[in-house]
Amino acid sequence: MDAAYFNRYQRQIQLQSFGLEGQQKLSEAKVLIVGMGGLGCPAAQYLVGAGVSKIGLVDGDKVDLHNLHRQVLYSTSDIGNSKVEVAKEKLEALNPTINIEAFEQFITPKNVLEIAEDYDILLDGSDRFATRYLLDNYCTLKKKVYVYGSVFEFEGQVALFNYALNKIAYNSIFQNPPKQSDVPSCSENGILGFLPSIIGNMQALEAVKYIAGLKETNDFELVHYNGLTQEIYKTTAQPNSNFIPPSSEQDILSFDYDVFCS
Amino acid sequence: MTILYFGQIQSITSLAKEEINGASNLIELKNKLIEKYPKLANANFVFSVNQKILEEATLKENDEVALLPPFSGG
Repeated sequence: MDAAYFNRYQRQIQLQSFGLEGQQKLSEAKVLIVGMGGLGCPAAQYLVGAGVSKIGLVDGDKVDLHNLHRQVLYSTSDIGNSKVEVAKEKLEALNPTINIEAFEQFITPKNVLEIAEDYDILLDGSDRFATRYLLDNYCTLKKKVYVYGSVFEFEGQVALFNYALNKIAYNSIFQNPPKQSDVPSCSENGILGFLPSIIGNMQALEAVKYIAGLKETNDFELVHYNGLTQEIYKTTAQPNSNFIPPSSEQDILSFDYDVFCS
Repeated sequence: MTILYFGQIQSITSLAKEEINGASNLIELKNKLIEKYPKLANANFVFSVNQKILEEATLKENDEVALLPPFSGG
């Protein structure tokens, strides 16, 4: 460990429950962030700052003017450029010791196996049910960790799914996917930038707590946050005997997530 | 019992919480809620009883039941 390493992460290392041990665990972790919007930007910024060894960024979109109020890695001069390319550059400037991989494409059943292969944790910053069900199924199959986060107006939900540990999956809780058209997105209903920023940071915190072993319990917990009332509602879940987890890569490849959620 | 409404469900009920009694299990509660708010029949949510997501449960007067919809925004 060199002086610069210690200096960069000093404030984390001096936190007793985290320490050098926690820092070293981050230095071995690999997190894939799917969707570099309002959730993905703050999550990426803080995970790169914290020292997660490898971060993958997945998004096929380009920066738009109406993204800037909440997608904090992008500037006015970045409009029209690839989100993941801009984000990679900003994040490398923030912490050049991190290995950052950019995938300028949207995740699909066809490319998820290849894109996510090298990563232990998938952090969901997407805005579509089809993507959420796909990432969760992929993580269930590959015994990886799926960090869910989503927002609706002034509310947000966060949960860390670790099916291999507690037999709870996003797919096992929300077994009947809503039609995408029934649940308004940020582009339809609007959003203040603070909400996805809070939720994206809560997702990043969940990931770091898991990596560094700071979680006090193995039990599943879904957190519901309300930014208007500042109230938090937490709930647990039981394994669902009706849930059939995917058993092969073919189950992921052959499943039509867009039809499932429409 | 206390019923909590979140997210899109709150857009249907127009309130965040209320007291509803006379349901002895989740099926009865669901029917009562749909009677009061017909749009809930097509809404997507799971029940959380005393902070546990459950598909079936018997209910008592002092229970707290939340209707949790999935969100998709990001």
